[in-house]
Amino acid sequence: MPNWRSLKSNVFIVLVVILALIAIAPVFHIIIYITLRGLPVILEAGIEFFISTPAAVIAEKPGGIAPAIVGTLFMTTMATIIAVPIAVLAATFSAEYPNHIITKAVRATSRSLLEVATILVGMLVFALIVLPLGRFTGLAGAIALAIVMIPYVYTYTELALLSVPKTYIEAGYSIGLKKAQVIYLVTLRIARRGVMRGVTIGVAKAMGETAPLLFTAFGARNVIFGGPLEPMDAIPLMIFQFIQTGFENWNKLAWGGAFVLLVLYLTLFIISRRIVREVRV
Amino acid sequence: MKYGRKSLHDKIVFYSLAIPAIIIALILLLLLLTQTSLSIPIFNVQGVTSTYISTTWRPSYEPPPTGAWYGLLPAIWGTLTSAIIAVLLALPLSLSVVIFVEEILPRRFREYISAIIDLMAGMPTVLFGIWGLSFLGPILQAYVMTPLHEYLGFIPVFSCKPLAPATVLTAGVLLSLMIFPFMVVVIQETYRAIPITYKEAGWSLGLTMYEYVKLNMSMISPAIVSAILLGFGRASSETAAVALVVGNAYNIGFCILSPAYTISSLIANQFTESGDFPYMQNALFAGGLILLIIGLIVNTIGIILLRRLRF
Amino acid sequence: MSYGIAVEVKNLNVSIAGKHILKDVNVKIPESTITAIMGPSGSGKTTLLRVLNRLIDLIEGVEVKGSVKIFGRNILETDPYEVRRMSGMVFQIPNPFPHLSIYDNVALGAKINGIAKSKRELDELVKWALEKAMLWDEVKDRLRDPPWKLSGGQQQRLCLARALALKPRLLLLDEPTANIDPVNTLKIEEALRNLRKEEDMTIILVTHMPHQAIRISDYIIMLYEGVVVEVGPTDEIAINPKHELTSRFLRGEM
Repeated sequence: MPNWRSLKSNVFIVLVVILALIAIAPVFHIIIYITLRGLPVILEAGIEFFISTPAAVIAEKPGGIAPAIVGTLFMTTMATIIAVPIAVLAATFSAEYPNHIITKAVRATSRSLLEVATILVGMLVFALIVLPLGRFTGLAGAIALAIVMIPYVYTYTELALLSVPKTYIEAGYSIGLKKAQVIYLVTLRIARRGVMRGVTIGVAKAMGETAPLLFTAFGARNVIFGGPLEPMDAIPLMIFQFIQTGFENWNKLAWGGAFVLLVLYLTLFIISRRIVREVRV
Repeated sequence: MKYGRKSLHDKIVFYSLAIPAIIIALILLLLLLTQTSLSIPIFNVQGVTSTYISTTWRPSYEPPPTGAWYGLLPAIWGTLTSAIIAVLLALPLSLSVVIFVEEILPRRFREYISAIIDLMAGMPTVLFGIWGLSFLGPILQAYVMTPLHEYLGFIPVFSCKPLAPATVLTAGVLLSLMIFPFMVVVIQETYRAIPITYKEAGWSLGLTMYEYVKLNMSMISPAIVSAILLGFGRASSETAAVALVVGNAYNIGFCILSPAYTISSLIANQFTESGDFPYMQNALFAGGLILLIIGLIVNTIGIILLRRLRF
Repeated sequence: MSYGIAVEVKNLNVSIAGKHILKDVNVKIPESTITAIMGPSGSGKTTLLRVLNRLIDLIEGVEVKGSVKIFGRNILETDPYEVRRMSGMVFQIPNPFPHLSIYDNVALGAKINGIAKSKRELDELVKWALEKAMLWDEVKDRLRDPPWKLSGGQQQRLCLARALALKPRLLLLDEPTANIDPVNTLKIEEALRNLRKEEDMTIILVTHMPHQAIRISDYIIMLYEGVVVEVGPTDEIAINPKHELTSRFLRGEM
């Protein structure tokens, strides 16, 4: 019965298209929705939104999220400074000694860390750094974000290094370069776009994380940068905390913050796509 | 210098690269060690089994077992049910996207879809959360959960009245949107790896699109199982978004229209204050430990399945 | 100008991951000559060449036994980094560093190894190397361009210049014209002849093209399955090969 078969197939195609569209549509709705709710808050608050602390919940204007913005910038930068050297060097190890036991261990670990609940990273840093220090600190938050970032940078860097054609490495050795020089002057340079992409993706991931900061940086909604050894706010943390309160002013700040986070994320996303497109050997 | 002997330079390079690699490898070990050692106190006073199968969560200044009691089953249950709902919904979505992109969409549009998939996969989860809390939840309550309860209330999973937008179902739906991009990537990569000769053989048999896709999917079924497991791992470990939409109530039951806790949302909500109550923090570490173990097992099986599938 | 021995290989045995690649190789290569290593693929030509600059060390599970002397020095007992500075190498596929300009491709080795001390010396060295590689006229106005703007043949001559910038006495080439058009092939061959004549360079060239070996080499080493089956002056071997395999190879039957 060919008619029955092709009818079934056509119904299937229609169903697939509908489901695929249902799957893809929400991301656009999220972007539009956050823009519609967040952008007016920022437009209304003006520059205040970026440079002042949240106003009292009963104030006429919501104030700003400067502590969160500064905290996110600080902790993400610190995390990058900690994570990138470790991850890039470790990835170089894996590419240089692919069959070494350490390579196998670090690959397995990195793969697991990509999937492990990030709140567990927060608990780890809490146990190892917050408890001994006796306080929540921006530094602890940065370390937690670094742990989140490491597997992304490691994975992309290793992939990029392994895709450097062997012949360039041989050419490097043939002109008398030592191993460190081959790695630094040849392999990493040729792989730099892959490394950059990993860093960008890692930064985007770390910047958007909430869970690892809950009991490390903890939040400090009224302090615009009190130093690395003080509790610190972050945009995702602020959103998470303010949206759960019943105060209209704070809800507004959460939406404004969500829009800022969205713009930051989209910027990093576009950069990471650009980097890929320009790859050329 | 004897042949085969490593030069000093090479040794220095080896160690300066090995140390960072070892640091990374140690992170997972440290994670396991910390979670385990900080769980042990609660196991000592409550026992391992009863900590995980008890449904009572009773913080108190009096230590357990007489005063306080920390049973994790409701949170584990909430994690499992929301993650299962997420996977059940995400599977048809991700399969549809793969089929749509690979077999229906003209080639030149493919890159756009994969860009959108990447965009979703990397989106800060708190953005999903805030959208889920203020848009998705209320919509689901009004147009999905209430009708489900009214017309299908005789089925146990829909038996309770959806009193709030934040429920297990809301968490499951939101999670499905968050995990399906990862499942698409896993399935799509394997789907593309099916040798072209197999695909041509399918067409030459005169199959319809439906039969052809079904044949291809059966060839990569281990990858689909792997995607399910990896998606489940992601869903069970998500924190911020879930904590905003799951309702955070210490319930256990079969009805998915009521609020609940997941392990991660329980930790997110109660960890900071838990220092004030004896053993409560240890109980939360015990929750973290089971979450870590579930995650590691599910992901390891998922990855092994993927690796075994070679054409 | 002395015409001593540049390379002396004694009882060389190489195995990679347990597979015996070179078996009891014994050859002497005189200074200021062009020597062609010939043989079918898999005969161990490239392996032999890569022993001479210890590039073979990069392969995991490689075992090297015997003695290899270059200009009197046993290179198997010398730091490989030092060995590699003694010679330059050109590879089968043109592989100029894609991230460096034409100028920097040539300059890198000289800079790292301290061959040129000042910027002016470096400029002169780069010019000299590019001239010797017969590429200078084509690139002198675009030294800052990336190498992928050059044609394949030009890229290979750039690689030759990169090797020459080390001012080596020994030049190793691994089928340098296998992927190059005839015009560029002739240019490279001419460059090699000049290097031998004008710079007293010892040149060892792996080739699977009998005609090329006959055109430019003074000596031929014929390898088959890791064994040296014939060694001798090119004139003699080309006219009167002693070994059946050599004559078949020269007739293009292998």
